[in-house]
This record gives sequence, structure tokens and C-alpha cells, in this order.
Amino acid sequence: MNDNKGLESILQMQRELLARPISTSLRSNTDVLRQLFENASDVVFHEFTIRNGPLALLVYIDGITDTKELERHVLAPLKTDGTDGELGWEAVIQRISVSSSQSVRTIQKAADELGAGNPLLLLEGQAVGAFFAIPFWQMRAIEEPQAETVVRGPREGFIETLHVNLSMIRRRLQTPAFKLKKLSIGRYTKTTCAIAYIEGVTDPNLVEEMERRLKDIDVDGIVDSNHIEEWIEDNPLSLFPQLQATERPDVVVSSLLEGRIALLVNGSPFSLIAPVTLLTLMQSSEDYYERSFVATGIRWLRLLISFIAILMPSIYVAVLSFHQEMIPTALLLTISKSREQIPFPALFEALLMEVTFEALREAGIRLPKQVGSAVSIVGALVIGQAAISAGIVSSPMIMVVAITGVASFLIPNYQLGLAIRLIRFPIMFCAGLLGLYGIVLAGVFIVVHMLSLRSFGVPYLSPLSPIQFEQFKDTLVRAPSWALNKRPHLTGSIWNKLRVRPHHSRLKKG
Amino acid sequence: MEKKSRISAAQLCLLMYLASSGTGLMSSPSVAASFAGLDMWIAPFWGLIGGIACLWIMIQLHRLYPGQNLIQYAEAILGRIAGKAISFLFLFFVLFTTGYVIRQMTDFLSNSFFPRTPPLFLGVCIVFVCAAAVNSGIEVICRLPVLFFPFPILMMVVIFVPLFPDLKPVLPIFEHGILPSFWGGCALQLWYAVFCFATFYIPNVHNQDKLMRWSMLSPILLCLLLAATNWSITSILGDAASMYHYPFLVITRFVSFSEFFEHLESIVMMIWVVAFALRIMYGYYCAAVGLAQWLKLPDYRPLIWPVGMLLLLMSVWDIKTTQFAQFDSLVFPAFYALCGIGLPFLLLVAAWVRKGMTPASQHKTSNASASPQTQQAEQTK
Repeated sequence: MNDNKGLESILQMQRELLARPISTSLRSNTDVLRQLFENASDVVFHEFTIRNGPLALLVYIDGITDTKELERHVLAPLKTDGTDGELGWEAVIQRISVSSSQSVRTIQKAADELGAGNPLLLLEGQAVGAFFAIPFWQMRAIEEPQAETVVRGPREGFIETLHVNLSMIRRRLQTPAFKLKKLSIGRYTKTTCAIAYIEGVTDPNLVEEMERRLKDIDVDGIVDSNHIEEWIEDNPLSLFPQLQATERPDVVVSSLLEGRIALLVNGSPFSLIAPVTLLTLMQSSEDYYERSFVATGIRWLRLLISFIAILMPSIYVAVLSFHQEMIPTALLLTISKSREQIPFPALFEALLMEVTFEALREAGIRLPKQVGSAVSIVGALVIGQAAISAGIVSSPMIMVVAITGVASFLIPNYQLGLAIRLIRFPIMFCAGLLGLYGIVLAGVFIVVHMLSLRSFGVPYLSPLSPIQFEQFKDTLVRAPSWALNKRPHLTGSIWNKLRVRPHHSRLKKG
Repeated sequence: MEKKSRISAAQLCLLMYLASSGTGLMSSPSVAASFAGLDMWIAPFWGLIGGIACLWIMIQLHRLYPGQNLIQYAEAILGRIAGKAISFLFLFFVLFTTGYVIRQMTDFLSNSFFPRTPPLFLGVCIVFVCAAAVNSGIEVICRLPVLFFPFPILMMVVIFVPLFPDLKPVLPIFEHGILPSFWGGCALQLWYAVFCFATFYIPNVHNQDKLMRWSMLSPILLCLLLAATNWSITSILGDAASMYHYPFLVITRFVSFSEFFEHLESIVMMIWVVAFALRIMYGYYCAAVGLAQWLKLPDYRPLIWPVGMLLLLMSVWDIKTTQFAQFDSLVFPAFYALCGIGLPFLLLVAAWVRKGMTPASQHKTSNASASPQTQQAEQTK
């Protein structure tokens, strides 16, 4: 009880201090701010007298404010030149040569701006303060995104700083129609998010819906875009990703051009794209950078292989346990010979190997690079070989697991890949229980679930069912860019349809 | 019931076609064969009349009472008590046939693939999956066949192409006159009468102008499929077709690709299971929605589990295990035709008579054209 009261009084005091307006007395403002930032050693309070002018207080946070700029353009003019004896607000502000400055009148706003790295200037006798947008962000260099590499195509990826990410998009979309709506989420983190869209291409209801969902979020903090994803996705209990997370600005730009919207979150290199469908998650950005026939072939390969990634171990289990007659005789003999010594039923064998494989993969991600290769050697050679010679698993099983493992790497979207990795296991149980019948039932169940999913109003399996023939040329095949002449119709009545000059085809000559 | 759910006529067509083709491929050849003998491939064409009539009646009724299904307008047409009775009979028909499909499937699976698994367990599993689909609503049920449509086509190609050299014209035609094939067609009402379930889907179709064309396509496709299957079965098995329970499964055993891919039964079984699941969902949704409307409930979802249990109950009801064991009896087909075609036709005639009697000005508001007796009954209540 006592602790609670203490907590309540702390929160009460914070609220009270923040709710105050900036007063005319510099002394009381300083006191309020000092109280507010008590024990925050990185906050600098710099009191000084403006030459020929009033007493002033400069507050900034060390490390996220550009102190060189601050000294050159704010402190130096005020201290050396000063005003011409005038004490007014205008006279002081005019001396300062920072391009972006705004006035604040409440402590709340002042505290927010300080947190964003903008220094605050307060004057004696003025119930208003000014902040200057000269933040200084330590940032990582722009690198190629590790999880979404391409052979051909741009190699820059988003970083953790929002405004750099926005600039990467803006560089590719130089139209004034490219819009950004900023809002901050999280009571403590005050994470800045930006909704990016192209006016006239995107359905405004989509933007509105995104804004509405974002405004519903009321949490203490957002650390990564995944936190936002979990708040705004349509079905929170689904295994499948309903927004596309990407590190690539080119992916964001092409999605924007298709009429989608993107959400960028400060502090996360992953931006979210909505709405998405299952088939857009199965596409890689490189599909658009390679020749269209090749890209089509690769897309089909990917679809085929993803079926293998989901179903192969379960089909192996089902066929071996229930439908041996399906296996051609010669093959059946080979398999039964290698399974002769195996003490486990096929289901157990499959589970054992699949779990081991998943564990090895997880270990490979988390371990330091130096140890990683050792683990893969131990995993691949020792466990694989030794398991066979020890008679614990059969060699066909190892092959199935290996193919499945390789297959699951072909899924370009990592979140979808994770979902598919996980979904294998319940299907394997169904296969062990009811053979192919169980697999079919599990498949129907999953498809029913996916059919009932929507991403911002767009059905998850959208070009396939409900069927949209027009979109097949960018889903089942990848038509050349001159043939992709229409934008996909996502939702709503606004549909900026044409992307290419009408009646323009490369095939008609003369 | 569901406000915004909209389906297209094409989706409905595919749903009806796939739902009836699964059971149709499985057991209709033996039924047709027992009546029509070598003429069994003609029987579907006779049966087609029933299917088309059934859908035509349902669409006409829907035009008279737009936005309503049979359970709703039965009361408006026949009055409260008679309407409730008729719609109860219809609901029983829906429940019974769907439960019977579950029975057919579990029989098939436990005879051919899972001899040691309790049939009820097989039924429970598929009902669970179908319940999930029904719970997701009519849109999902109608989108499912669009996704699965390629698989039956693939199956037919895989099975018929290797059999092609064995196919030969089935002669003689009409050996015993026209009647055997006609009775075969009557027996096939076991499949064609089921098109009457469309009444629960038609109100949600958004392109009503195309409804007639698309829904007619569905029995025609079924007819062609059955005719082609029956023809290939007779040309391979000849007179023996009626002796097998699952003649189609028998001919798939003849398929062999370069001696490596043999025994395609399991593949056929997988595709059949999908078709059966569609058929069960198709009826399950009707039963749940119909029952909810019969009881005047605002939503059908709370009824999903009870209806599922009813379906399972129907599926274990004490009927001879080998379905349609009384091959040459027309009792079952007569029941199907009576409920699926006869009942709606009765309603249509009654509706015509009623519309003819009431002045033209009252035609516009179809909801208000409920009989005076009904209105009185509601007032007194």
C-alpha cells in the first residue's frame, strides 16, 4: 500500500509539472525543468545573459543535440552581438540563425522537444520559449539489408533513424504527391511514426484506417515496428503475417506506387507495408530486377518449394504409416531396408529430426559468428551421419528434413517463413494420426483460416480467391513492366487504375 | 443474417458443382449402373432435367421474395403453421442429406484406407474442419471452391489421359429401350436435388443478373462430368460396374505411368476428401442458417456446434452401411426429389396463386405481402 502511494505521488508530481504553462519568471521555469529532469545527468542547463539583453536559459540534452551548431548559431550571436538593448522576444530571436525554430508555451511541449534533441531557449520576462531543430543523431551507416539481399538491385537498406529512412524514400519519390503523416506513439518512448503514401494513388480510407488504428494504441513504449504490427493487424490470433516488414526502401517505394501505404517507425529499420496478400509476401524485390521470364520461373519454383516446405515431412510420415501402396515397389524396398533397424515410428522419427533441425538453425542465428560454423559442422556432419549409423533415424528421413530445410529458406519473407516452419508440426501430427486424410483436413483448415484473413480489408488470398484475373500477371507470372499497366485494385472506390500510357504495348510494332 | 457478405454467381456455381461432384463421382456410377446398365452414361442427362428445374424454381422463388431464403418465405407463402412445417421438413432434408454424406465418406475411408480407425472419429475430424469454415461465413465457403477448382480437373486429366487407349464407344445404346436410363436419371436425383440448397446462398449473390446463367452451368457441368465418368467406367468395366461400390476408384487402379506412379487411389481419396469437405460445408451452412431462421435467432453462429453434432448423429443413424444398398429401390431418390424439387415447386405454385389473388399494388413490397393470416397470427401473439 505504502509503495503504491509513493508511486502515485511520483506520477502525480510528474503530471503536475508537465501540465504547467511556461511562466514569465525564468527562475520558476528553471525550477520546474530542473525538478522534471532531476537525476537526468545528461540534461544541460546553461544560464547566461544576453549581451545588452535579458537573462536567458538554454536547456539541451547532451549527445542528441548538435552542440557545435548550437554554439555557432545560438550562443555565439547572443553572447557576443546581443541585442541593441531591447529586451523583447522578437529582438532576441532575430539574432539566431537557425533555419527551423518554433515557440512553445507549455512545459509538456518543451519537455517533448528536449527529448527529441531540440535545445530550448527561455528568456526572463517571457511566457514563451523557443526550440531549435538541431538534433544530432548518432546513426549507423546505410548498409545492404542482411535478410533481404539481392544480386541485382539497389543495395541500401533502412537504418534506425526515421528521417534518414524518409529521405531514402523521398529521393526515389520526388513528387509533391508523396505524403507523410507523422504521429508519436508510446507514453514514455514517444516513438515517432510516419505513414507514407502517395496522394491520388492510395485510397484515402486506407490512410484514415491506418491512422485510426495507430491512434488506438496506448502503451508505455514502442521499441520496434513489430510492436505496432501486433496492435494494428486485423486478426491478432493468426499465425500468418498480415503486414509486410521490409528493410528495403525500393520495396517501400514500389508498394507505394501500387497504392499501398507504408509505416515507418523511428528506431526500427523495418518499415511495415499494408495491405498485403499471401502472394505479395511470396515475392522478392529481385523478381522485378530480373528478366520477366526468369522471374516468373523463380516465382513458380518458390510456390512449388513452399508446398514442399510445408508438406514434405508430413507426406513422408503419412505415406510410410498409412499408404505404403503408393510407393513404387523398388523404392519401398530401399526405404524399408534403411528403416529396418529404426526403433521409432515414422512420426516420431520425423519430429525428432525436424526439431533438431530447427534447434540447429536457431542456434546458428543466435551464436556468435566464430562459433556458428562449429555448430553447423557438428549439426550437419556429426548429428546427421551419426544418427544414421547409430540406427536412430533412417537416411531417407534425413533427406526429407534436409530438403524441407532448404525449401523453407526459399520463402522471401522471413515472417512468413517462420509461420510455415511452425505450421509444419501440427500438420505432421495430423499426418501421423490420420495419414493423407489428416493432411487434407489440416490443409483445408489452414486454407479456410487464410480465406477468412484480411489485411486492411484486402482478402489474404486475394488474386486467387476471390479471383482477380487482372492481377495474375503480377502474382502467378511476373509480366514485363510495360505489361503491368494497371495498378492492383485494393480497397475502396478510389482506384487510380492506369500506370502506363493507355494502349501502349511493346508488342505492336509499326 | 450476415449484412455485408457478398458472393458472386460464379463462386456459387463452382461451389455447387464441386460439392456435388465429389459424392457424385464416388457413388453415382454404381447407382446409375444398377438402373441403366450399359446406358448409365445417358442417365445423367435425364437427371439434368431435375437439377435445372430445381435451380429454376429456387431462382423464381427468390425473384418473388428477394433477399429471402426458403425458410423465410415459406411462412410468407403458406402462413405461419404450414410454413413452419414445410421449412422444418426442408431443414430435416438438409440435415439428413448432409449427415448422410458424412456417413458415405466415413464408410468409404474406413473400408478402403483406415480399417482400424473408428469411423466416428473420421467424421468428427471433418465436421470440425467444416465447422471452422461455416464459422468464417458464407464468403469463405464460397471462395474455397475457387481455390480447389484446379485439383479435380488435374485429377481427371491424370486419370483419364492414361486410360485413353482403353476407352471405346459403349454400344449398344438403349438396348432395353429408353426407360432404364430414365430410371437411372431419376435415381441420380440423389445428386441433382441437392442443388436446392442454393436457396440459402442466392440472397447473398451480388450479381443477380448473371445468377440464372451461372447456376444453370453448375448442373450442366455435373452432368458432363458424370456422363464422362460413367462412359469411361462402362467402357472399362462393362456390365460389372454395378457390382462395385466405388467403380471410379476401381478404374483409377488401372492407371499406371511408366510403372512408377501406380496406385493413385490415395491421390483420388485426397481430392475426394476436399470435395466432400466442400459438400459438408455447403450443407452445414444451410442447416445452421436455416435452423437459426426457423428459430428466429439473430445469428447462426451459436448453432454451429449443435448442428455439427446433429450432423454426426445423422451420420451414425442406423442405415445400412453400404449406402444405397437397395440399389434398385427408388425410395431414397424419391425422398430427395420430393424434398429438393417437390417442396420448392409446391411453394412456387402457392406463391403464384397468392400473387395472382392479391392486387397488383401490393406486389412491390414482397416482405409485406405475407398472408393476412400470418399478420393476424403475429398480431394476436
